[in-house]
Amino acid sequence: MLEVNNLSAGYGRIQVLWDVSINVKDKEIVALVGANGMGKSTLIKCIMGVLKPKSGNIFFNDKDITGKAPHEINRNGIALVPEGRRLFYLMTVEENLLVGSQTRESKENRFKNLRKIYSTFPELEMRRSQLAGTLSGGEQQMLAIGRALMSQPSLLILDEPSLGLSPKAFQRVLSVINEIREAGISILLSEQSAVQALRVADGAFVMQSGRVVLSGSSSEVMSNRNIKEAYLGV
Amino acid sequence: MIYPIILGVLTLAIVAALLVKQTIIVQLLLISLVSGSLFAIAASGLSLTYGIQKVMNVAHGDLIILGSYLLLSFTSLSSKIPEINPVLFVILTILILGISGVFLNVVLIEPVKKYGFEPPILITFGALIFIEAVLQLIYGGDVRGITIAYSSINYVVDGVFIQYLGLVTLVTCLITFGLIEVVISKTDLGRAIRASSQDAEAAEFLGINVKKIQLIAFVIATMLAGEAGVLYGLTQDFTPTTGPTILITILAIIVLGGIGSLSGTFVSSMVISIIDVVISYYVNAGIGYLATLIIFLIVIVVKPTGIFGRSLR
Repeated sequence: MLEVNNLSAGYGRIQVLWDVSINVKDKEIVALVGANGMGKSTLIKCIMGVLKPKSGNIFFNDKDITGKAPHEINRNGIALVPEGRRLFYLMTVEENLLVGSQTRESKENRFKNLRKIYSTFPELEMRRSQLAGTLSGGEQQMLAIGRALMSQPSLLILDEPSLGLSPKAFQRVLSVINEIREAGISILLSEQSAVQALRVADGAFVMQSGRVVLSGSSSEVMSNRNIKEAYLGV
Repeated sequence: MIYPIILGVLTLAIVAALLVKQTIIVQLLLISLVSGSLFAIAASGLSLTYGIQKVMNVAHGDLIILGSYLLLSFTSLSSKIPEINPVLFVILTILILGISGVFLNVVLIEPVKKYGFEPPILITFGALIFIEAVLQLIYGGDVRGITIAYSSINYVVDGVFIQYLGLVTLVTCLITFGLIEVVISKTDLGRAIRASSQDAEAAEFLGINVKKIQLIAFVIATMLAGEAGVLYGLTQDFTPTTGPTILITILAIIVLGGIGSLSGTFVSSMVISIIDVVISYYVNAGIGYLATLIIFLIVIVVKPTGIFGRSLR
């Protein structure tokens, strides 16, 4: 489904990603783990079209999406839950969700999708006319996920969803991720809290210093002694 | 949210008129409401542009005057071809302003926007000089005004002089503000506009083409300038250099009302008009305009976010 091939990228003359290749298969949860500053966010910026890669390419459903604008990438079926949530804080919960449906298809199913999201996150329905800025951290993360789902993506990317959340709220996010996968949406989960991410994931890529240093099924990655000590900090 | 505020302002004006019962006060109040409506429409476009795109288009006043001159040309044309409906000229004027908005945004503003806040000011200042020079070339520097059949329709109620076109201005303002409010708060376009202005990158991630949305918003703003130009041309005298004078009043209104706040724009437009009209009547017109500038400076120093202003987030 998503294929990143031999990607190199950076900011100005500083190269951050070196020959990175990852792939996400249909209906799979893939964890992208590694400590802070290892290139996870840069890789996501490249996938979403914010950063133009120096070389390499990105295919989504066998279509080359390298270097496309972010809104075009969303219209191809990839939705992002950005790091730090990035809600529209001066708009209500429901308006935030409605902004999520921009394509014709997602507009047609808008109210069906809205109902689905409200049944997954009842707390959002209770606060539907409240400004997004007044929600708690956990609720804001739910809203950011709901907003991304409103565009009916086939791949959902989450960038550091644990950031600023209580362990309990993060557990909730992880169980929601499982539900989303069961609904047929693939997931790329970029996360520093590697152990929890690996527990829900099927496959995993471990990044260090801008390179993929290990990949495989998440149980393989988890049982790799070197990785445990060196990169996951457990 | 805007209608309660508009109704509040109008009720306040009517109650004040009923209480004083002094013809001259009622007359001044009415003049203020009409000129307040005119400047509210004039300011709404710039307020939108600044609130949404964070771009200060200093040519906005000149776009308004361009609209007045376009209507002037059309009406002189219609005296030769009387069978054309004059409403068509109004629509045509607004459309031409919309097209000039596309040009301004795509050719001038968009390429320099990424370099910061100042380059768009400089480049629209260039547009201001250009428009002024072209108007000077075509129409000369004489004071102009547009006279149509409706210009001479007036009513006198209890000694208070009411211009038909003044009432048209007032009603147009109410309809315009209602429409902007509905579009911004209730439609997909409005939500996309607000989302793009709050977090452009997050909006892009949701499939919103932010550049396109900002272009649409800019074109709406220039069409509002066209609408203001039509009303200004019909009710006021103008020369090619009137644009910057209008711009300064508009800036005072926007700053007092709080940038990007539609209700604030309406209320502060009324407040500034009342002050301007009253001082112009009792002292003289120059001092009235000076008062506007003084308000502008005081607000900038004391409360830069304006009466209705709020910081984003």
